[in-house]
Amino acid sequence: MIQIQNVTKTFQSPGGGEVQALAAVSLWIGQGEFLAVVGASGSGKSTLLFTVGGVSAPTSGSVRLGERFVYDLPPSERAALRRTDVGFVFQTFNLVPYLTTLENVMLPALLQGRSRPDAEAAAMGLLERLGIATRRAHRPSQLSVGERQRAGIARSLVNGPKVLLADEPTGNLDPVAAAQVIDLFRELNDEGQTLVMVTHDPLLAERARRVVRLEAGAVREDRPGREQRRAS
Amino acid sequence: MRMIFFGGLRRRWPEHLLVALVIAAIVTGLGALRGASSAAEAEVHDLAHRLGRNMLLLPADTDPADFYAQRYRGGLPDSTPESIRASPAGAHVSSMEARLYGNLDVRGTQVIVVGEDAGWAAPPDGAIPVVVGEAAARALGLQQGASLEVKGERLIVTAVAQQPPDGLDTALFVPLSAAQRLLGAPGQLSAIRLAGCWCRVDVRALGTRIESAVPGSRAITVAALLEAQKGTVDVVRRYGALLHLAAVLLVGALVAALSLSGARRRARELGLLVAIGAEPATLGGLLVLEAALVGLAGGLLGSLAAGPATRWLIGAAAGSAPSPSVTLVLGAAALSALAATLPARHAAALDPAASLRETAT
Amino acid sequence: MSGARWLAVRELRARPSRAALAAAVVASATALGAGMELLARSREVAAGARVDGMGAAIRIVPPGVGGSALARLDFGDALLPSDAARRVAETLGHDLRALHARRVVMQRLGDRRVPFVGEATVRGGTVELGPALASRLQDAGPLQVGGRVLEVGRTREPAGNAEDAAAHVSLETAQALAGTTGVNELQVFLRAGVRPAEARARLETARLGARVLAANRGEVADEGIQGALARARRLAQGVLAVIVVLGLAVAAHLDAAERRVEAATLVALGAVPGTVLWTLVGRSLAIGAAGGLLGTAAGAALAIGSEPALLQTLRASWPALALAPLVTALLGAAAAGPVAIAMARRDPVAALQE
Repeated sequence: MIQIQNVTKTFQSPGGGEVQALAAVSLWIGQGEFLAVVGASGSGKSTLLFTVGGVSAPTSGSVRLGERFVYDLPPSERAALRRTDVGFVFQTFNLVPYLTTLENVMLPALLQGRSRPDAEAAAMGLLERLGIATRRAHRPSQLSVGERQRAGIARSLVNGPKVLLADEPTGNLDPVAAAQVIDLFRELNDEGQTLVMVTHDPLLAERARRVVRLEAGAVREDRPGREQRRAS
Repeated sequence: MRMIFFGGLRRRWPEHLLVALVIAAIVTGLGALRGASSAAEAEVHDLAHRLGRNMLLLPADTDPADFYAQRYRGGLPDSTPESIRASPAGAHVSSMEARLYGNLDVRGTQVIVVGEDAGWAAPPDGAIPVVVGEAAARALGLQQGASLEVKGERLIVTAVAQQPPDGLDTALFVPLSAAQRLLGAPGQLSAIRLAGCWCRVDVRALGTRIESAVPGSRAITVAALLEAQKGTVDVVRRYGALLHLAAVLLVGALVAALSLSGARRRARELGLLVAIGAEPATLGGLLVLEAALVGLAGGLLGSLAAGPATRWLIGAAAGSAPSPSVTLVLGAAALSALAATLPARHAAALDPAASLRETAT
Repeated sequence: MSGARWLAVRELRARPSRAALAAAVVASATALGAGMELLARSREVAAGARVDGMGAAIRIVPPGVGGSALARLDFGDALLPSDAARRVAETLGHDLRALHARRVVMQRLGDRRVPFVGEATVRGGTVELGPALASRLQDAGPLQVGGRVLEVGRTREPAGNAEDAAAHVSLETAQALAGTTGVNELQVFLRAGVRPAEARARLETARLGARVLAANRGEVADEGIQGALARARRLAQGVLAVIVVLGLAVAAHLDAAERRVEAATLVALGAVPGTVLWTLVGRSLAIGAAGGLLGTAAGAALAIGSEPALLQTLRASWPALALAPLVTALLGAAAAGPVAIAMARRDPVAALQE
């Protein structure tokens, strides 16, 4: 489903020179996989995630999502792909502060051009599923961090994306909330949702079904997650 | 706290620099406006005094009614202008127009002869140059270049005046000495019009002093003209002050808005600092101090640039271009600081958790 | 674009105080600008009125009355056509500030012929004396002239011309002394900024059946002072515009930059660059328009409230005032635009990870 082929990403360093965030990374992510990308700070995990999601073009290499090479698409089609095929969950939630919880979840649907009643219905369904329907009229600042992240997850699912990309989704959460999020991810994955989760927490990573470890921008390890290994 | 303060300045220097530059530009504009306004007031003052000569000096035994009815007689010696200049009153007189008027019959047509020293270019053959009012030209059948003989003197028409001075379209304008010969009034004048900047002078008293300097004269103040001159200058000054006030308010509002906007963006940072133990009141003070410094820098730069900017705008007329103004500098600093006090108080008073929650969404 | 419009409106409604503050800044800048425009125009009008104290810019007299006769106030029996005043008003239209009709008639007073000037400003049954005439008559009591007895009122201030030797009566009195109705002089006062030479040309073209004469006021009175004030006004407008543009632009720019995380999130969620652009620009546009509209109205109202004479200058200033909201709206959009465009195009990763 997602083919990452020889992807390299370099950035210009503020002090001059270049920083290589990804070094010829090749990876295949199948339909329905739950992949954790783990590594130390600066290993290129988040860069890989945003490159896969069509947000940040690689310096070289290609990313194919389904039948389409993401970075061969013109920007408007790539934006459409992000609306329909990709859902992002961010470490810092990135909810729009002046929208209510419901409106934040509806946002991708509205951007996709769905009618307001349709978007609202889809959003409400997700809020109920994630247990925050009672907070639908609240602004993000009025939610707990756990509730905010659940709102972020609901937002990422509203258009039924092919793949969910989560960048350190538990980074700002307490252990209980973090565990709830991982449980939710596993639940979604059981239902067939493809998930790629970036984390620096190796214990958390083991709860995924496959773990890829990055080091200095390159894949150093690619193996089943511990829970997956125990099950098999 | 010093570390927080200077660290904040270093870290946010691009934003501070941008705001300071904008404040500088705004203050420069205000300074240039003030300079341009002063130059305009000076120009109008000068123009007002070129509206006309606002005192008429006649011989004391001339009935003004006769003078206005164009029945003329001489009476003042033609040394009168020098006497006025030499007198104490002369210090207030910036220009004089001395004339001899007389009535003459030329070829059966009643004309007025007006003699004045006005930089006449003498025709090469020693004839008398004459500018003829259009009614006189019509009556005498004269056009430019024509000649006529009056009292044994040959006159050459140098121009026909469509709008002659004082509307005297039946007049022949000649050099003073020629008029004195033609009218048989050697060494005489009929009237002198005087002008000067008398905005702050008791004009009646000035008239009396001039009459004393020129025995046998009568000074008539042209009240309407004087009122037009003084009134115009007063109007321009009064409105100029109002315009300057409005400009200061406008500049103040913009400087305050910039400062307020900057302080408001710091809310999360302040909440974080309070959460880790900084004193809210001290933080608020630092915010105000930071805003004051940015305002001071902008005000100083703007004040220094105001003079050159004014000169660039209005060129040589910028005689009164503003020099660096402490008022502008301190004003900008005070205004920035004042504008920052509101968000500073708000930031110092709020629950740090709330501000952290508000911004980390 | 519906997503962008919805987001822009939603943000304004959700954070009204912030929007109100931004609009208030625009409004106050516009109000002061509007007030200054009206004040500057009013200054020209007021200065023009003071200069008009010297006398009218144009005098219209019957054919055959020359400059010298006019200077003597000796018009003879000639009168102006009866429709002259109406046609002058029609020809000059809005450029005409005032039109004074006068009837000047010579009357014998003692052993002299004295001009009696009939004008609307003098109360019927009274006479105001020019100072030269007053000096000659020396408090001789009521004037008897043409079978009428006129109470002597005030002595006028010296004008330095034949008016000083004249007697000023009501228009009806002068007409009665002349034995006919009609007027023989129209004094034309023009609105500030109108060039007398151009007005004269229009009047001459109108073929009034009269002579149109330039009053002997000189170029300084006719154009010099108004020109200097108009130049000062335009210079102030230019400098003011720069000040306001700069201040508002930077404020809008900094506020738009504040929303970079939001913009990056929208990009990640699949918003096209146009949506990001219009979400930010739309807000600035709306605030600029609202602030500009409010400010222009408030500024004009405040200025006129404090100086009712400014109402007259509205007519000259209304194009600039009407443009102000459009300008502030476009300015806000222009200020936010570059930031929004840059955000829409930039790699959003750094902002997403803030």
